[in-house]
Amino acid sequence: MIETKDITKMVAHIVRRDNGIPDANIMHPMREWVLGLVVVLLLVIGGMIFNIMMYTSYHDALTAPVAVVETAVPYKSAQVSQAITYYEAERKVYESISGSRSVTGQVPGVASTTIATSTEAIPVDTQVVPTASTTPATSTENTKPIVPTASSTNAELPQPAG
Amino acid sequence: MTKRTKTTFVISVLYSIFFVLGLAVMVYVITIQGAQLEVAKESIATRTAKNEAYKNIMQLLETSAPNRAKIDSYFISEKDTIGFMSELETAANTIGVSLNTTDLSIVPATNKAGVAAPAVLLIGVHFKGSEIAVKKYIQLLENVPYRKSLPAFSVTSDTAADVWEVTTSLHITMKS
Repeated sequence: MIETKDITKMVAHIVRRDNGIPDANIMHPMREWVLGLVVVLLLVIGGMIFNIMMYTSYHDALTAPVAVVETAVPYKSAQVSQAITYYEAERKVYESISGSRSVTGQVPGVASTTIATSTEAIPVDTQVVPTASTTPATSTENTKPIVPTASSTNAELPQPAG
Repeated sequence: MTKRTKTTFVISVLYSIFFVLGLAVMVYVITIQGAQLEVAKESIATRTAKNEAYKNIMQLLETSAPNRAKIDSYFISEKDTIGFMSELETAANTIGVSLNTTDLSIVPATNKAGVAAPAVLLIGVHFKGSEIAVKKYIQLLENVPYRKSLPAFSVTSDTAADVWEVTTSLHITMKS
């Protein structure tokens, strides 16, 4: 049976101290030289790895395409086309009634082009401010809406175009 | 340890220090230049985006010019006012109604939010004639090829004599 003293003996055998003559030399040239070489080699290898990583990083940054964020130009082509169609129809009706080619609402004929669309809302309704007038004003007192009178009996008005 | 050994050791230590310092300086410079590279890339990206936006706008301006010109023609300018009035009078003669202009003024306007909007040309008219002629002239006013509104009108008729009279006003949005 293994007792405590046996274990102690085995441990003492393993970790026994050298009771010989201590080494009188402080330096060991070969050992220090090899140690120095190893340290420098590790530094060089570490530096190489670091340099490769840094080179790769900046090389990728240089060769990578520049990310450009393009902003869409708001242009309401659908509304523009709709408005042009609407007013062109009105102009045709106007010209057919007046019997002459109107000088209003005309521009040199050029083919229209559809570009882009946007859903941005724009205010379209305006209200007249019944104050202050400019040329060629005759009077601003009549800026109030004219209310249909009761005398408009039997008034069968034409249907508005469009 | 001999004196020569000590000297060699000190020299090696100094050499190592200078070597490491040199490397540190180089790494620092590279890092600084890397940061400058990032800033430059962002600057290039911003500038490129602005250039692209400028090109898009210019292209849009060029290609939308006809449509913009058409849209622009649907707003009356001050100098066209008299010509337009003459046109209305000529049309009245052609259709067969007698036309009187009761008002002609430029009125400031605001939108629903209370912000100033392009002014409105207010044309008040009173015309009379036969039923057919009056209806035709009302239709003409409704189809004036300008951005406009007919806020109200009044109609009186003498069916026996076939004389209809209309008083109305036309609000045409002016070019800003």
